[in-house]
Amino acid sequence: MKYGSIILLALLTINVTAQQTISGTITDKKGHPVINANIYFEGSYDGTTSDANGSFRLLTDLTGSQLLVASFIGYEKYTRELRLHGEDTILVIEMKAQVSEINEVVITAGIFSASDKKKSATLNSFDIATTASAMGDIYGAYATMPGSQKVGEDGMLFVRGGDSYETKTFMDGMLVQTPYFAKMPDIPTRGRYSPLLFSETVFSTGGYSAEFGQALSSVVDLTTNGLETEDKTSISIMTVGTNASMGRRWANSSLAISGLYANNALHHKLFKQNIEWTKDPVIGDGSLMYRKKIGETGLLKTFCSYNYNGMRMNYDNFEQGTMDDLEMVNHTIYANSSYTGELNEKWLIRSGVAYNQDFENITYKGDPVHTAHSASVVKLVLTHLTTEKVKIRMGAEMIHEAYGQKIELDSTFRLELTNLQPSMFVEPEIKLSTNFALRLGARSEYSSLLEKGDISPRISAAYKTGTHSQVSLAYGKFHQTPGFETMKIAPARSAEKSDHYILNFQYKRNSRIFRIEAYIKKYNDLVKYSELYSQDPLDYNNNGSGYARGVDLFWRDQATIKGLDYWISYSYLDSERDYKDFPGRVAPSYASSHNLSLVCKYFFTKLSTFAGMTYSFASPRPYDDKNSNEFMNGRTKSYNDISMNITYITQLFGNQLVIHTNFTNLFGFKNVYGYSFSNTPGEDGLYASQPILPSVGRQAVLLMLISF
Amino acid sequence: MKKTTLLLTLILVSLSVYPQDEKYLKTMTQTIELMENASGSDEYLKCASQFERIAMAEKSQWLPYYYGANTLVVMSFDEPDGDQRDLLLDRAQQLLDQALELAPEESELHVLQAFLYPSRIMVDPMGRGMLYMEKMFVSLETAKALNPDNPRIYFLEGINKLNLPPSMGGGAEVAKPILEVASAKFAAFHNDDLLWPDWGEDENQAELDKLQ
Repeated sequence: MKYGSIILLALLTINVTAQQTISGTITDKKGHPVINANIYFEGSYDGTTSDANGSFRLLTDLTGSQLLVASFIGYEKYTRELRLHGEDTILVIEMKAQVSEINEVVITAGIFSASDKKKSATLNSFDIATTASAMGDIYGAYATMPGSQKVGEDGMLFVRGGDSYETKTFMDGMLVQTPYFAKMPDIPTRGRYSPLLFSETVFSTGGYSAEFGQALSSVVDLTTNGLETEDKTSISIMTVGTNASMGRRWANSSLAISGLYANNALHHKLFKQNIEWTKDPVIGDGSLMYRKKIGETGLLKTFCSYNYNGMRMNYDNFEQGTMDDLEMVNHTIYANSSYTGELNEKWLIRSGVAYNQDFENITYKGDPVHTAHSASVVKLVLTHLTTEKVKIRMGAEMIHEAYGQKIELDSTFRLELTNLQPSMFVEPEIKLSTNFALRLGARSEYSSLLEKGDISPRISAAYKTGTHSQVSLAYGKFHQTPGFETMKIAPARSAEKSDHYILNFQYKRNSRIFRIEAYIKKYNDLVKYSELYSQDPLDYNNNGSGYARGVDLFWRDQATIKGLDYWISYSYLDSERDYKDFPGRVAPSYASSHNLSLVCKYFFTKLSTFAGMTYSFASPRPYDDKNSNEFMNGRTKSYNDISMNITYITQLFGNQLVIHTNFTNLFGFKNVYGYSFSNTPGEDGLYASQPILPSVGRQAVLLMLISF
Repeated sequence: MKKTTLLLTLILVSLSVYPQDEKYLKTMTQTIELMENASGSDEYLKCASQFERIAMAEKSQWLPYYYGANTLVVMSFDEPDGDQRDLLLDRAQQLLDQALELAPEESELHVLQAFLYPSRIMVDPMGRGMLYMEKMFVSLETAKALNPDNPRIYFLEGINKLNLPPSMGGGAEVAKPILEVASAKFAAFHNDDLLWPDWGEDENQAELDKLQ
């Protein structure tokens, strides 16, 4: 009886507590131990963490069917059903690394993307605003990225041997027809829109998604800011003008307005100009940004801006040996409204409308030329999250462009053209494994002006070669309808075409990134004419062609020295083309073989001062030497520039005051962009020449900004 | 003998039907204590894991999520590797989001959100500074609107001002009165819930002592 009780007691203990040990090891796919993983039974407090060897021991008194969970930061949750009946169990658990923003396989061929949310692997709006040589211009900052060539007298982006018209700008996914200020000969222009308007920027130097059309070389995709975070007012006074902005935030919406008046008069007195200005450049700009949250995920964004730009000068027409009166007045309206949101768990929507109207009046030697250019865009993009691994994007777009030109010479000439351009694209993105992603896109476009359509395939893939490194490949066909400047005289028979082949390697760890990218680009069907400004349609054809190939390198390090952020970009380019009035295939004037940029930024915490410096180098550029028998065989000297900026932050009556100065060409390098030649030879039979110089040798801008 | 068996059985049964509330309270109290004395990532991760387990088992309590997130945020400040720190903060944010779903109007959760952002900033001060400073400010304002007597709001505000150079509106002079407000609010603060967050008071006093 005595023994019986003891046995009963023992049995009872076992039955009630039924304690058992679950032990084992946890490793990742490569067999490395996963340390500090959380191992527990779902719904109970029973659990433990794995030790330095990945081993664990878990004591539990649960019974029956239970779900064992192993979880750890950076890994996918592991679950396994266990039947517990008082017996010890030994488990071997293999955990899969989770796909996160840091280790996710992303297609990077040709793409430099950055946003305020992500780590600034490349450039975000703050980086752009603080890059010394950029002077607050988006395109100026992108000129320090690999793949772009320095073309000082132009100011627009020239990418991988492509002309400036081959780069297109998109705002919230919609084509912006006139992203730059109107341009005067030999004076660099800049982007109309402040980098601070955008929370996300993508600079693609080739091989981009089928979503984008009408760009032979490059795409700049800008995403405007979301809701303003707080009420803010700021006023800034510059040596070149003044700017005021105000932002208001309500629970689900926000409004921001800003106005700018810029006048270069003072500047032109301070810094010697190589140009004889008769009316200093003036810019007036006003913009409005309204944002509204709709439902849980929806966001409606509206942006409107008006922009005035005017100047007048005596243009040094060296070819004719005259100084010609030249005046330009430009008005631009741009409005854009878009909606993004989730339709349901599977479908995302992005849609928008945009309108761009540009009036440009140029009066040359008293003869006015009025050009009006308008573009309306309607766009819809849907994304279907088919499975965790498959995502299909598709969309349709309609662009209507109208171009009209009125020339008042002895009589009035009128030219009017319209182009209706519908297009569609579909682009599935497939993650074949955690290491391998593939994107297959196709785009079809039709142009009413060409009376022709084209289909462009786009393929890209990325393969992860390590935790921090990956290889990407891209191929694509690109089409661009020739500009109205030639179409107004001779309707082209076909779109201009290019093919991109890109191979990219990227290593990215913490705040360091290294990229190397090799590419080949082929051009076909480029517009050619036998004589510049020829009015005879028969002089025009689509027989131009060309190529560009090269290697781009990029290194950025924000980690090694605290407070220091620097990047180096180097591009090697070999490009020749036969287009416009070229007599054969040669390197165009904007194609320099070597381009180098070194950008440094340092924050002196104690001094509350932010200093930036950019060194830019470009190897000699081709120009056409009229005294030589061969076309375009002249070479300028190489280009050098050192720019600096200093930003000091302080308080004034409890409000934040920012004092900012920017120096361009600090050391006064004498850069030459090319040469102009006289139309008539001199007595010695040689054509006289004159260098095309920067409009100003060195200059400085001072800005004071107060926000409250 | 029968009596003994019965007694033993009763004891054993009562142990296994140990009331859930008591178990919750006990485990939470123990883990909070462990966490407050933790050092090194192993100890912090153990606590975070325990909080997560409790959170998953309880489902309707926001405090285990809160403490789980808080543990990860605290340990993230010592994590030197930026990528790793982001992973910790991503997980902390997930837990915090779950807590916010249970108690969207809880001032403490918005304070924790404001406490998370500075750790994000330290990964990439130049790139992230502006954006997350603004977000932190918004979170603190939200927390204040929900409960103006929450002392941790003023503690974080004070610390924030202390770390900011005078040229950007910070410095000891600006920070001191805010930390003093925090001190008074800490003294007056009371919550019946034994598990209610109570961090910040000692740290606040330490900062004030330094400023004396």
